[in-house]
Amino acid sequence: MGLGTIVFLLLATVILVPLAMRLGIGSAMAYLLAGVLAGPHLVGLMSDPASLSHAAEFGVVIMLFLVGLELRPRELWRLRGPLVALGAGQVAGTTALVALVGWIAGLSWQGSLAVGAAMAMSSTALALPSLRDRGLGGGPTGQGALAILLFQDIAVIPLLALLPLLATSGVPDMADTGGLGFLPGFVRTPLAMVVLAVVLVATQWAAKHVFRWLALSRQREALTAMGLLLVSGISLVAGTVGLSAALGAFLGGVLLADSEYRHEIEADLEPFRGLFLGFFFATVGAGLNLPLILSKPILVASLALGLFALKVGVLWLLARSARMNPSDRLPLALGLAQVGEFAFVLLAVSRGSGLMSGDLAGLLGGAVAVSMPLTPLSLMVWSAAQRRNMESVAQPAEGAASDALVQVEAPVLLAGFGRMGSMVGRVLKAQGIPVSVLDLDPHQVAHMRRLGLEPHFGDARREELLKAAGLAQASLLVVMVDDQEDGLDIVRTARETRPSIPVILRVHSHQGAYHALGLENVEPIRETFGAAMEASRLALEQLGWRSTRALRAVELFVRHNQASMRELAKVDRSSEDWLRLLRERIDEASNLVREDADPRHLVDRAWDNESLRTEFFKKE
Amino acid sequence: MDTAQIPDTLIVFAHPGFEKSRVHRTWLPEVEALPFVAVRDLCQLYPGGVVDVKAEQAALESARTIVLQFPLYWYACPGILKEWIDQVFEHGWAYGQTGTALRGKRLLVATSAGGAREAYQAQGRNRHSIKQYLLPHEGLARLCGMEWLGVFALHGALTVQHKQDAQASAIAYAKLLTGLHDNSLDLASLQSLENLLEAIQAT
Ligand SMILES: Cc1cc2nc3c(=O)[nH]c(=O)nc-3n(C[C@H](O)[C@H](O)[C@H](O)COP(=O)(O)O)c2cc1C
Repeated sequence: MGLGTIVFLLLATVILVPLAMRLGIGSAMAYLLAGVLAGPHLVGLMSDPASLSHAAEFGVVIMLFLVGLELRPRELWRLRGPLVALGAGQVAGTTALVALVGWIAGLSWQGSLAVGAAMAMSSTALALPSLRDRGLGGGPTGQGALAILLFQDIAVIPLLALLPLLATSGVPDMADTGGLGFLPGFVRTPLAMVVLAVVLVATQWAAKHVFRWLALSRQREALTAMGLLLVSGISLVAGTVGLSAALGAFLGGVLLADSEYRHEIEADLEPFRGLFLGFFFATVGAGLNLPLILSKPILVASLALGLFALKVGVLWLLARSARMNPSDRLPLALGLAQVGEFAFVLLAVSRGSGLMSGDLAGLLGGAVAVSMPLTPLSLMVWSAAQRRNMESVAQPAEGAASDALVQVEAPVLLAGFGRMGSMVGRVLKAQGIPVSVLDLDPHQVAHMRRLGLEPHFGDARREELLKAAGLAQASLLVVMVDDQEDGLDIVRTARETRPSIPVILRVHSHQGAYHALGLENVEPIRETFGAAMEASRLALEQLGWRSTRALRAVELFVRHNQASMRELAKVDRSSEDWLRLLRERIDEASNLVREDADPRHLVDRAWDNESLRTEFFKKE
Repeated sequence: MDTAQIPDTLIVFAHPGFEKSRVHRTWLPEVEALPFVAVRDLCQLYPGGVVDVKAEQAALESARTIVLQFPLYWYACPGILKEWIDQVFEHGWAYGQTGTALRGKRLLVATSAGGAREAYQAQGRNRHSIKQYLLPHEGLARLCGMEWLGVFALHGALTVQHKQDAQASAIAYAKLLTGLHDNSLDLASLQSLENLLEAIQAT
């Protein structure tokens, strides 16, 4: 990849992507267009798109790894029903229908089947981000889409092995079967699976220890590199044994979903996902056979539209038979109706096996590329219509929309899991309130995990990590880090995304408390205050005070203290007024105590019957 | 005495102003000394008002006679006792189809009031007797299948200056609990009385 290409793609990212987002057509379209522009037929920067394919594929691989990272094995197991029902239905149904059309149009039955299988594929790279852009990444739509896409990923493997067998001409195996190519197919696939499984489990074990070691070094780029190394390593192995690299990455992600480094990995890889996916679409754009397409524009357009419509129909019917909500069916169908990147691979293999002509493959390739933008475009129209229907309905609250694949409702985001934070976490957990926890100390995280709690490693001062830990859905941020400045940093960062999220903030000193009180909706907790009050209460009890009285005395002191702190926070600390007020409040507090010590006030006034007695005797 | 090992009389005591108490400071040691009596002091146990429901229920289950002892505040029991009742007397335990835990137990109120006996009469300032004011406790006993023994009340509690002034009522109180414990009292006749204190002192 030349420097010119990189500059061009980055320029496209900087200029076209924000523009496309503003227009509501999604970033994929922007990259696709940039690719067409840069391609061999126009500017000519990306004259050899094939040379970019590895970088491009990496985007898909990172994306599936991140998708996997959101899915714990348990949740993946839950998806098995839709995986088979929706996934198999989609692949078989679409293949059969498209093949039927091809056969009627005069293709051989083998060729028809090859075309059908290729057209059945959807674009993971396009479908998931498009759904995500519209806030449909989570819930039934997102899960259904994921199930179908995963099934396609799995289906590609046997398809690649089977297509050459269909070939009558006996052209040798063209599929990229990697380093195990010398083995017969029936041994190769299971063996590949076993190898991959071993590698994945080993990776999971090693990753845990390596990540801790790297985290201790406090070198951020080392952690980022490790994340990238993990993804590329797993997909390399998957590719070598002839499996889909994306599938391997996905499984790798699933296996790490339980790891305490999950949020850190997510945050580190997130920007790479966007960039590399962009490259992917750019290569698709650049790879289009423009002259061929432009020579038969009507044919290509109607092929694309026809395929899109047919796939929408199949998907919609499947969604209905799977009893999905009527409102979830159409977005799912639109999201997956484009023909995906695997189609290019399958078309190439089919052509190589002599199952179809080069012209047909070229035309179909054009149709595939044209079908891709139909997804973001149709989803845009769909959500505009949706918005018109929903006009009267109240807008969801700030941060309510979530694109998380699996809705982990963690209403509380807790930063800092040390002596204070872990207590807060345990209290909330005891109430059954899910808490998403971040801590920067790998030892502490590991230690707490051994105790059955689930903190994640990560620096909560970083926006990406707060987001990965669920800042968007949280309804409360609890900051319990021991360094006051770090705490304030976390609040500032979080408030950039969620300007009005309520915060409970641990502060070290009065100064910190005053500072926090200057912020809207931030409740400062002085770290030693509660303990000091508890000690005072016990001291009073030890002195023979009854518990009710000790508790009330301390409570009165707490209230007075908090009220004065709030009052003092409003006053300029360098002014004379401030000192005067401070002195007054301190005097008042000691009077509170003195008043209580007065035998006349041995009990709270409410329950003091002294005056009653006096009056009673006067009357007698 | 073997029976002495198991307290069968549970006094639930609520006095937020105990530091300055005269009446209850005299009463409490007197009855606490009885071997069959156990006392739960709510102001010491639950200053914050969060009751350990299981522990309270267990204590009630092992008792035969339950005594609510408190100074009369605003014609009723102090709030902390009401709070305790609200939390402990759960549906399904105290009342309702499966709520049989308190069936057959006996409930007594022992209280002190600033107002004189004359004030707590139909013609007096307060119009009703203390027993009438404490009707909710009778209701509670009835709903839970308990026997309502009535009210043991000291009038003119504010005139009590010295321990000796409350000594006589304290002895009467202890006598009442002892009589209930060894079944030497005629419950039916007690239940018809306005004030058990006067009845005991009359014997
Ligand atoms: C808050 C409060 C409310 C009271 N309400 C009443 C009342 O309604 N009727 C009454 O006769 N005495 C009332 N009194 C007087 C108390 O009953 C009296 O102080 C108590 O019984 C004395 O007992 P002790 O010496 O153990 O504190 C009240 C006293 C207080 C402090």
